[in-house]
Amino acid sequence: MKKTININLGGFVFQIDEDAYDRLNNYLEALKQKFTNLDEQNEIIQDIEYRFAELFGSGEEKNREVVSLQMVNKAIATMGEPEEIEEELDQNDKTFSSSQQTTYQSTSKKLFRDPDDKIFAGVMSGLSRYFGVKDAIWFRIAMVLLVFAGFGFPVIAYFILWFLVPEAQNASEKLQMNGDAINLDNIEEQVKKNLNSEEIRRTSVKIANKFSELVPIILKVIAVFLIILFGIKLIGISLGIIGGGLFTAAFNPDFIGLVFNSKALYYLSIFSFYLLLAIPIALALFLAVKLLTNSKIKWFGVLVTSFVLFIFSLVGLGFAGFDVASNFRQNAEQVNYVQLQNPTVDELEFVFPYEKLEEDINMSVNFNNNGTHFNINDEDSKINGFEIVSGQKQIKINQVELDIVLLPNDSIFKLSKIIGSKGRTIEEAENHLSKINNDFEIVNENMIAIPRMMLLEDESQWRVQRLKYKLYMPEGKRVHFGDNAKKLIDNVNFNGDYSRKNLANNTWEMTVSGLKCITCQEDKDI
Amino acid sequence: MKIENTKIQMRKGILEYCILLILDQKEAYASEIIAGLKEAKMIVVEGTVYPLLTRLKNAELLQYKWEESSSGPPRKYYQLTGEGQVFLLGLEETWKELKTAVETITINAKTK
Repeated sequence: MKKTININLGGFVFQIDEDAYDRLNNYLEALKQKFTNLDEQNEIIQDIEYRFAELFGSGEEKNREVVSLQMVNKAIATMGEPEEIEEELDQNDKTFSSSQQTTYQSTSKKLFRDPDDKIFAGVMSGLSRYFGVKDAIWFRIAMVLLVFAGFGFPVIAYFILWFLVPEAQNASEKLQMNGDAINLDNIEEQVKKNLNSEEIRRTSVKIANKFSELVPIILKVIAVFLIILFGIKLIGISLGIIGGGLFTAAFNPDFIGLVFNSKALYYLSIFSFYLLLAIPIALALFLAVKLLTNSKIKWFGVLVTSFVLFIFSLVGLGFAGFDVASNFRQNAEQVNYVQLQNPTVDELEFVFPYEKLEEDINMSVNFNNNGTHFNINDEDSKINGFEIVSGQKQIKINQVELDIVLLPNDSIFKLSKIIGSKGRTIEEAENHLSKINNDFEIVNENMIAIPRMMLLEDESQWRVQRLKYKLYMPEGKRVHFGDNAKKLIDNVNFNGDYSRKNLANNTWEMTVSGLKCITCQEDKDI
Repeated sequence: MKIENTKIQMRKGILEYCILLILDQKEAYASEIIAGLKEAKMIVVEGTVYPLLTRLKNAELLQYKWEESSSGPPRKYYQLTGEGQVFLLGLEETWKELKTAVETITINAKTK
């Protein structure tokens, strides 16, 4: 009784005796060692396998059910032992090298994926073999921990390695994976080990590898790019959460989307941006994998694809950038005079009610049930207070100003309200104006309340909308400011050594050369 | 200098020439080429031919197309490329020169 094995030889399935299989496999392995050029090696071995298929399936053997050791020996005799083949060829030929050299030289380790010890693709087990760690579990645990710690990068690296690192297909590759010397004894041992596993052995057609063979190199390269792109996005988000601030802004679609005219353009520019970042990273990774493994990277394909993607991303960014710039081309402004209850009063009081932002932290993104809240809330920043509630088409923005100017040769207060916005066209800019909402309130004849925030209602685009109140004061009139005055009053002349910090909670009198503080003498001494 | 090496050197150049000659007549797949070579006693073992075919193909002297076979695996049918034909002409020239040279020397040696 003999054990038989199914093999695929040149696309035909043969049943082969175990001893015959060993002989054939050893023969092909030994033959492989004669050809050092990998491209040639694959093709030559394939041709020879096809020839074997012909020999086993023709002539007197045609009706034999099982390929026997005798048949294999006969076929090998026809084909010639590796040494005989070598002898008939030029020994100085670069294609072929003497058996001594190849058989014992390749003891250096190479990175392969281990098909016999795998959870997904055998990347971790391959790495642990490469680094000489007995059990792949340590690499797996490290991987899981890293992922849970919030690092997306190992996942990306995993996929890239999956793509680029070949699976150890045959005995000699498995030996290389473990760093064992490739000689007939070791191969024999390895082959026996393989036979113990129930897996059906294939001599030629590597089904496991079929997928990567079918995918042309260009698609592979693009896939790697996309994976890295996705990775940068992940890293961007995690950095944003850790680092906060501008990084978040750069990666927050709600925020960046405000300056774009259409979603498509927004995505185009973001995509191009990530792509631009991905290209050097991808090239570095290709290089790293190339150094680590023996995987044959088609550099021409990689470079051409990178170049095309590079041009694409530059064009994409340029196009989107130009479009964004043209969104700000035109400017519209509108001035209204505000009817005061009693412009003849001696003193006006301004208060600046301030509805606190959702989250009153410096520059933050919060994800909650209501969507993304994006705040820039830096005390010293001009754009102090900027809130977008995603999905609600509502922008709160702190671009409200109050200018105080001298009104010569007159005796009454005058107040004007100026709104402005940019736009692609004048009409568009004017349309943005109509959405600016800042309901100041004339509380009584002495008191005016100006909300610190202006609300852009039903608005999804930011076009430098701004709102400015201008108070004209005749000489000798007085004005009193409430809290937060310095945040709104930027453009003011002082008659004396004051700063904007003094503005709040003090009474001021207009003189020819500017505002003079009446109540803040004590403060000044400090 | 090993005498074996000389033989190998001589055979090898001629073996490539023979393969190209066979393919100059008609396109053929490996087994046909092998049969032709065996008949002429140019080769002892078949395995020699495959590396040479691959190398000639990589040198763009040969090209091949796949053809289905009713009795076995698909076959690579080899044929000469334009470059291969030019190369073959060059080899024929060299072969004639060599032949003449060897004959001349042999005759001269005998007559002296």
